[in-house]
Amino acid sequence: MPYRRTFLDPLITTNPITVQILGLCSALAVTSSLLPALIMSAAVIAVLAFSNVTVSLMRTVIPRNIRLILQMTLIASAVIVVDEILKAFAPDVSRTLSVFVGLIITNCIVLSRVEAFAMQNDVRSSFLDGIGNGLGYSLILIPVASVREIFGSGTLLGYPLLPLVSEGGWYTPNELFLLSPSAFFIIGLLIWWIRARHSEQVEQPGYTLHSQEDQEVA
Amino acid sequence: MSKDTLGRTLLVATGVALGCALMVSTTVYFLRPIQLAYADLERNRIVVEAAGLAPAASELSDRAVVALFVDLQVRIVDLETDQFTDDVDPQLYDQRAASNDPEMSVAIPEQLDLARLGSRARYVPVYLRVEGERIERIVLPVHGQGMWSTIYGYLSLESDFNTITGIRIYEHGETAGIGDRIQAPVWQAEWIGRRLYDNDGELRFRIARNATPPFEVDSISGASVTAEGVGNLVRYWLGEHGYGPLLTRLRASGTAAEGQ
Repeated sequence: MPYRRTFLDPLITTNPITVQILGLCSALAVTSSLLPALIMSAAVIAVLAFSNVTVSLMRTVIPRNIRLILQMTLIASAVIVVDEILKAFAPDVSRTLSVFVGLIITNCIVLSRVEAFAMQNDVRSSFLDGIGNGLGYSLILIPVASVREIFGSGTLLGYPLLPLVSEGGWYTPNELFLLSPSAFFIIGLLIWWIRARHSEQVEQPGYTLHSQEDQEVA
Repeated sequence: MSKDTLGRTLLVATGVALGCALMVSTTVYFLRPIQLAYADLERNRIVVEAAGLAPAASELSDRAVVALFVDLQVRIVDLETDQFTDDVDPQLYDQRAASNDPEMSVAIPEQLDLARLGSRARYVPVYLRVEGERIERIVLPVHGQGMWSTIYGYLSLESDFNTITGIRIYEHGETAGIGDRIQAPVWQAEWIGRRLYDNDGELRFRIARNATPPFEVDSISGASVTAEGVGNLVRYWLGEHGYGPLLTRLRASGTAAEGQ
């Protein structure tokens, strides 16, 4: 596959959230406002790029019988480093994200890219695949977090956008947007919208029901 | 050689484990001081403000506080020998607990007890800003009785160990609206540039009505007992039973290196 497609495909065509339906739990948890979502996106991009590159570098020496545990060790180390950096330079955001940075270790996107892609491909395409999938994840996180922060708190990145009733404005914040289920609805609508434009993403039903008339004939 | 032999498996597993361990521990080693500085952010903010390192009355961001604080060295002073010591770990040491612990504290002779404390800890953590070998700034913790309560603060001195560069009172239980004016920026600003000792090394600093520089700071009308309490606790801590001998010695040498 050409490098360009390795990088661009995960943005929409094989997007980890909307097509592969991976990494949803963190996407629900960290999108109640935009800043943590941005930091989380950067963290996931960094971890994906690092683990894809290291695993790809070592793909010829990794013994098959312990490959998963080695991959997890590399991923976990990268996540710890990212977590420590956040604690040192962005302690507030780090507190907001709490366990979800650590849980990047178990984010299915990371292990799936490492196992399915980096184990078979050269370093350069693995790097691009890691960045691409990380950006694909961000591409969903950022609009979801923006919508939730604007309608849930009336702000964006902390700057007031909709004047709140409590501060003399006209907007009553809709607190449903601050609860995780709202992310489900927004991601659902996003998937609907993307599949309406890219009909090849629509999944064919696994089976069809016989209609009533067919049964009567039989 | 096949990738899956036992030897190869062990070799690769060990290599990956060592590499990852090295990466994680290096990161933690370099970032830990910054993380600890954030953990004690509010106390560190007071130390940095008291040190007079930032322009007065400016609101420092958390990051600026941490950056300035990481540049300060914390050292323990043994007030019995008036030397810096490594006998206690400054990260773990709790001066307040030690002040009331008979094992860790020293009774203050009554005629010297201007701060009305009864006893004080033997070891005290001080903060130094060192450039090369020279101490540019020293931040000293001080405390003592005000009108109703124990007042806690930090006092910082210039490299002459005589000129005040800042004071911050960070805890007290004085009367709201009256005694708590010892925390007013205007009053604390008046301290900057005042001197403690005259040319003969005698402690001349005090709080006074109609104060005259360079040794006196104005009392606060209506809160004179509290304000004079602050003056007395400074006189105690900078006197012969407090930091006095240490400062005299430092004035002669000016470095932090000795006494290690």
